[in-house]
Amino acid sequence: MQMWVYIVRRAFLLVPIIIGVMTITFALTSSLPVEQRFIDAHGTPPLRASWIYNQYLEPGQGSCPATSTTNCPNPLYNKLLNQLGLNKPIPLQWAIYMEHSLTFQWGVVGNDSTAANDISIIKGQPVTSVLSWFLPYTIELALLSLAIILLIAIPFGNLAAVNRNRPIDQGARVISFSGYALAPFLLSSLVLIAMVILIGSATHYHSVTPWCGGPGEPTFFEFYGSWPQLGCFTGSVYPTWLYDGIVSHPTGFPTVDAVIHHQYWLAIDSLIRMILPALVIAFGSIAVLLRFVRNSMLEVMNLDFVRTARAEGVPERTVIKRHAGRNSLNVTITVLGLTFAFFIGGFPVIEDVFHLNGVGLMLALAVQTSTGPIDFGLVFGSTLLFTYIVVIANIIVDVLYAYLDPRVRLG
Amino acid sequence: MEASPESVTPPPAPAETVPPEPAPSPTPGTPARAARRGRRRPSPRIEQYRRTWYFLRRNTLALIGLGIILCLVAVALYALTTPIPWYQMPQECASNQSNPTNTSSAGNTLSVSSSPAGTGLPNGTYGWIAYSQGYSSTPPFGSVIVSGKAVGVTVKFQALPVTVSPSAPVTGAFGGSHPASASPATKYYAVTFTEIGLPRGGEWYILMNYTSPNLCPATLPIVCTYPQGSAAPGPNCYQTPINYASVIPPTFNLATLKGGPLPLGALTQEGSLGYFYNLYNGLLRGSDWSLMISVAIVGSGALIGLLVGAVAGFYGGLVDEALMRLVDIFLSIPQLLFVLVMVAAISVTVTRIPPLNSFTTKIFLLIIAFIIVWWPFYSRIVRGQVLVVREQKYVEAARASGASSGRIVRRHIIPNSLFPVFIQMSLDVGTVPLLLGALVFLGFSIFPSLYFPEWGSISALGVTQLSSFLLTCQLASGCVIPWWQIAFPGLALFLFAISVNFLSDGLRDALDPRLRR
Repeated sequence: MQMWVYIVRRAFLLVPIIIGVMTITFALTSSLPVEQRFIDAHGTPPLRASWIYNQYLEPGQGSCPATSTTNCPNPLYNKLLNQLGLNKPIPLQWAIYMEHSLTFQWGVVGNDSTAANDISIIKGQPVTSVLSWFLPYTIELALLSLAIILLIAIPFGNLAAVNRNRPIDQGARVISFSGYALAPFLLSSLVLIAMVILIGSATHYHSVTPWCGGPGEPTFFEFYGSWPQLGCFTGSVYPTWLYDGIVSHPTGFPTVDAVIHHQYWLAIDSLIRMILPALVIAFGSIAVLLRFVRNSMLEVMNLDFVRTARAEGVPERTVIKRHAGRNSLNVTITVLGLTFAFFIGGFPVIEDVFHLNGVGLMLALAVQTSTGPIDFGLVFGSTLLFTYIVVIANIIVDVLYAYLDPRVRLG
Repeated sequence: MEASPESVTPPPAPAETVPPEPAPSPTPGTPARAARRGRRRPSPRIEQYRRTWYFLRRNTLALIGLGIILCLVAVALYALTTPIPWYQMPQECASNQSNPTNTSSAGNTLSVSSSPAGTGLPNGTYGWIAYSQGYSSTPPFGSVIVSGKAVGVTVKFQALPVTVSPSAPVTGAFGGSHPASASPATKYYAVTFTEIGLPRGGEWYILMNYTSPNLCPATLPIVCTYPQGSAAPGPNCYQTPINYASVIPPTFNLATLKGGPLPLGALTQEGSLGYFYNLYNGLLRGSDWSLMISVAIVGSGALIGLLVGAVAGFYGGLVDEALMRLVDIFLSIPQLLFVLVMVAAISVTVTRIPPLNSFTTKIFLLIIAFIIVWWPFYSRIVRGQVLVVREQKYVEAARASGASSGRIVRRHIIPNSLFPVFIQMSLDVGTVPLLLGALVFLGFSIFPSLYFPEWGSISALGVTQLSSFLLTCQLASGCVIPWWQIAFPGLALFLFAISVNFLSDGLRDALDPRLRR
């Protein structure tokens, strides 16, 4: 089979998965009360709660006091029902929802797809555009931590396998077990506390954008450049500063943008800000991967061709590197694909702790009930987005696997 | 740590070369019956247990893990059988109790109004808005808003929950002792203002709106007197008694924090975690909550996954394809996100349905949400195992002797594909509290999971409080970092998860002969 045939065939398998995930979010959306869905469809300003309750609904106003919803005495309820299309049959609602999801109108909860209702929750912006602003940061963070994972897990896994039951192996085992057992939120907070004790402040990691200093801290522009300062993240309300037209963001990736604007210090700074979070995210996945790399390496090193190579007098270093290492790579890649969902699921917590300007932070802000009602448009939108990321990563892993192991695509 | 292959003398057991493990006999041989039969013909199942224990005994880490788990179970049993005096589930707020206009403020607004006879600011409502979320910290700065506009004054605000008794009047932070007429059991909430630029004098009424731990919006009228020209509030600056005993403003108990290097007393003091349980009792109660919830979730998830995986693997074909695509769908959503989305939807929905809006139902729904997330992992594992077992000779023999397919699945396939499930279960039991903690950490204050004492939730609360505290705390000015809020729950969580990991790793080595090298 040609490689591209394999890729196309693999991509076709995505369709049922994506439809299924959308159906799950549809089922969850349908379980929400009508009032909540109205709120979702209409978006909210930064101070969400007051705005909703003052301008649209008092709490409980849009709900139906009677248990039977078909004959509700509340006229507002019926109006909402009509506007959101909830009086249509469920399959039709599902079809409308699918259409909205496939056309990236993720903030739309009802069937009202007019432009006025295609706003999501943050300041009346569509969910997809909000997510697309924050996605590059997440991607950059994910790539950095993936690089860290691969750079640490593979060499150390091989080392642990070669020095089995020696101190290196035991150390790798301890790291691996504590990676399983340390919750990411616990670990990242410990890191922050360590920052406070070592450096004296955690504010360096508490500014959302690299161009924002902490409270009372000069920004990097005041040191290095004249790029005008954008609004900075203060408080728990949604950030409202992005893309106000002051500074151009050609790519959206902070480091790349800084390089494009010739702000090299800024690029280094934003990378430095990303290293600790990336390490924390990588820790859990390293734990999983290290174990598998070690075990698969052990398995491969007992195989016949390794013994043959040794018997032929191939140097031990070459045996480990070429023969065993290359062949245990398959398992590594498979496990990486399997744990990718786990890896990506850690992002909301980490971005919340370190206040990084990514999709996970948006999700964390969207579910925080202390600032207002939950933003279901954004929650479901980012769920879909994370699912896409996982699915696409799995495809990439499969293709890599097929590339490394011709039996997969030929068989 | 691990037994090296040379030192292992094979026990008197069936040959280890039987892949993947010897089949248990279809006849139910309970240990007692097998023991009665003596050494005549040892039951293979007993032999398997004995052999597993033999290898487990040689694995130091697994033994350590087993010991810790047994200790935790003992603590949990002790907590179950001991009535803890403070222990009560948070009462859900009755609908007539809630004040709709207050729900939006969600605990962040402090309205300050001058008294009618006040000589201070003009009449009106002054809002104080905390810049940190929730009520997890005592934000040092607030902005005063007069008629909707911020005034150029800085108000330093500090809230100290203190328990006062007439015998030991509280002095210090809020600058005076409370009146001796107060009953000993009453909770007081002391407020310190350090105001710059605000006119002083007269009486102030401070209205503090916040959501109480039992989710009822509450209002605390606080009467403070500021003597003319004095920086500190007067001796009458105390709060009127709080309506219900469970309302404790969850802030740092700074009075106890400064007690010493290891303020273990703070652990048992009420409000040491800032919520309606203290740290010690929360940890004690959390031991059985964590164990029970984890076992319930993982057990039910594994059961469902086992059934689905066995059916898919055994029947194959279209059934297999359909079920596995379903599993793929569930597995492609990140675990934490999936739980988060479901819990969010449940928490909003449930508040609208009065019969469901109770603590027990919410916990039940939380467990169901976790089970929905968890079963696909098991069905994938079981299916893979079933595909191997299905081709074994004994299954073929059973089929040849006319056993029905249900019997084959029940008696041959499921028992023989169990052991990876056990290993995965023992791993996952440790993961559940971590995930619960992550949920609480992300801020589900609607859901009572925040308020029930479970190790993950407790450590998440400790972490939240500690990190917001760090932001406002100046190390130079000598404030003590309340490390115990994160250390003890975190340690419990870590010990639980890591011991479970040790045990499951040892089990894997002991049960799977191929890995035991």
